Amino acid sequence: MRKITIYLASALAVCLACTRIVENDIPGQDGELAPALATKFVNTDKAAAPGSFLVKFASAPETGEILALQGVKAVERVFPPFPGNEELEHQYGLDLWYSVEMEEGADLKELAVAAASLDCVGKVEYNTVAQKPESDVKPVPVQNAPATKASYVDEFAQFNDPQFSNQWHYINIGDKAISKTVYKGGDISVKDAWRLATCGDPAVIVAVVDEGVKYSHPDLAANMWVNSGEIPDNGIDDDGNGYIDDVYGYNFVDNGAITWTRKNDDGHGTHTAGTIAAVNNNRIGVVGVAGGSGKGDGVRIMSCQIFSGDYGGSVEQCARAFQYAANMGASLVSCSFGYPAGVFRSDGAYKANGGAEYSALRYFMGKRNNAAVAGGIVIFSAGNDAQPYAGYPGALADVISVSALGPDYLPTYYTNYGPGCKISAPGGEVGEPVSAAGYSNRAMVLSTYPSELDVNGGEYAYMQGTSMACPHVTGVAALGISYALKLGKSYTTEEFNSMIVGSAKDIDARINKFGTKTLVYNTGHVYKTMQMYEYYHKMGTGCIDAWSLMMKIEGTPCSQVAIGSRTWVDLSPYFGSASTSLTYTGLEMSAEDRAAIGLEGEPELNYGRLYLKATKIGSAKIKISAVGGGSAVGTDSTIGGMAISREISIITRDYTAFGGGWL
Amino acid sequence: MKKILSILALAAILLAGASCKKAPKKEKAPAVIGEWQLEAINVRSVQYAGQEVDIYLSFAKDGSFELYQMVGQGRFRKYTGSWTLSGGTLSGTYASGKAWGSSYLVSASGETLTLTATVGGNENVYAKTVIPEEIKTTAHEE
Repeated sequence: MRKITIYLASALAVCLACTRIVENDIPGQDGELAPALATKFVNTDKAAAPGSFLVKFASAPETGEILALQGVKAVERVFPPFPGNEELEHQYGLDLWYSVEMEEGADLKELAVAAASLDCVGKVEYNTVAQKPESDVKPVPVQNAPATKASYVDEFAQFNDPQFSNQWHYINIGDKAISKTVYKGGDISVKDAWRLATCGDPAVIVAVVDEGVKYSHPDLAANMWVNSGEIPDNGIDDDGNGYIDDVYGYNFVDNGAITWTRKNDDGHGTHTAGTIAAVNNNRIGVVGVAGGSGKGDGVRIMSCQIFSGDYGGSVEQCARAFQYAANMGASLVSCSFGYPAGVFRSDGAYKANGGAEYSALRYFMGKRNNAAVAGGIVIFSAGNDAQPYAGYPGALADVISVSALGPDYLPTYYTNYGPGCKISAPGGEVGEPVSAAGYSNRAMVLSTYPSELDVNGGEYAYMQGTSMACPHVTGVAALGISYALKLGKSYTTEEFNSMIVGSAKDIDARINKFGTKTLVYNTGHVYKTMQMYEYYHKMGTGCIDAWSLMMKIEGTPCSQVAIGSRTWVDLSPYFGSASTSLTYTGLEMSAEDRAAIGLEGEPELNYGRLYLKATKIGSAKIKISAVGGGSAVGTDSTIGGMAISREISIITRDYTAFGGGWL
Repeated sequence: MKKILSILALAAILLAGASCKKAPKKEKAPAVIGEWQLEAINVRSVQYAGQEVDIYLSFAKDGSFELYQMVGQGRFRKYTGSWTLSGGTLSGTYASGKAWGSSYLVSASGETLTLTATVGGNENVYAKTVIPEEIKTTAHEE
């Protein structure tokens, strides 16, 4: 069974009610196909779209052989060639994927098997279509009214957006009107990052792979990416990128203009986009993490629409969206969707079934679109299945997947946790009674919303889910790239991912591993009791910390080590406050560096500390590797965390002072 | 009466002694007062290869100090605390209550302040400066 889930949990609803379901058993298990043929199939024909399927040629595309099959109408590249990127497309095999369009009445399965029988065909992938169940998320729209709390307490004075003080997920002041169990400081620590580092950079483009983003929203319009090579609504592919009239992005479901008002659209894409980059300091609405300072300096949102009403989410649509994002300049993709936890249990299982989508993800990660990071950063939701592992593709070892926290700074009742979950962020949780009148919607995440979907024309809404947690991390990562550009810093993709995953605040000290978290209805009845030990050390490295990432980008100071005795270096500046519980996998130090400080014995890692004994004054570098999220890195046979590494610089002196002071 | 005088005399002597003890041995216009930037580190001829070390010190008359440091990379870190100068030896305590890693023998000459660590004997040579305002305002307080 293959499902694509849009990770937004409805208030106290069963998480799986939000799934977009696509059947997809393991190919070949039904025994209908000979083993040699079965291995060519990426998936099965269950719930496959009629009329087309995908093939990947083994080497050079032989489209003539496919066209010669009876019932084939046309064969076209899944990924339109992009001028200048041919080499990279070839490197990731995008040039080998073709979509086979069938003549009416042709039998899908027969034709797919016939294609698989050709020597030139390496893989066959049915082009499945997602279906969205009737029951879906229930956003709570609000009007653009003044904030309910005396908004202009100092904490929120930085921006003049009237709803800012309702965004506890950015600055959590412990307002009990939001939740009785609210936890002061349970936020993403972004205030100082805005004040002292950056609020964004329009050169940083974030692709929101989701429902269509309402690009005309008054609180988003100024931060929308605009394809300057395209003339709107002239029906011509002016820039020759393979897509017509793609001004703010592209609708890969309907192959046309971006939409957000089709039946059963729920504003999901507009909401996640607002968390990343709603326009700041514009005297209306809300604040976005990387929405700028009000001077046109926010990051830019590109809408890559893969859901449209009841449709979308197919392999081909997702794959093309990732390729488009890479080709059109996106530095990050924010993906609040994925397969439910448990559909795949290892990276290898996903890769084998990922087909065109996985190829496109690799392509995005391999494409440099800014001077600061060598490749694309991919961020997914961990999923709302309340399962002890993340859903794929977010669970892939080199992808960041995000678990969700409530305003109580504890895991939410719906979040996935455990292996594959790399980091956490606020996702909101309405399941707490805050007054006799009932629950406070303000315990969810507030962001932009299409007014057309609300009978009262509300342009903002509260929503919750790992879908909402994901764009917080995307926004912080976008701030990080903005700041790196400002400082002229440059990183490999692995280095930047390591810094993101290592920029987390501790959650485990807040989790009482012997305790429980109980969610109750306002009637007093218990909705759910969570055993906290299940979440202890399993929410990735902790809660994303924007300030910590900015400090890492500025550069981590050398650690000072006194010579003559065995001493230790605190690793939290490098790996975040989760450094004490990380699994460390390696320590590298060159012979030259060892000699430079007269290293005696072997350095060791224990409980977040590097222990060593130096005998000479000098300096050295030590590379330390660890697992971000989980106890082992995900492999082709397991689900796991991300391999992260940091280089530690030390200088040795005759003495050191507590706290690292020079004197 | 004699006894009273003796007591008075003793008291006077004691007071005199006490006042002698209390009177700070005036260090000659404490040379450390002012703002300084680390100019050179003589760490037994070993350099901190490839690592930038940028240190600013401000010693105030009231016995407080501010230390702005960037060791390697990153934002300047600000440390504060108190200092004392006694017998040509400078010592101090951070605001956290922890003592400096070493005390220093002070040698001042015009625009230069040399602090020689009593632990290890390294010389740190500082030049008179005005600490840039930007460093003061953007430093991260430890």
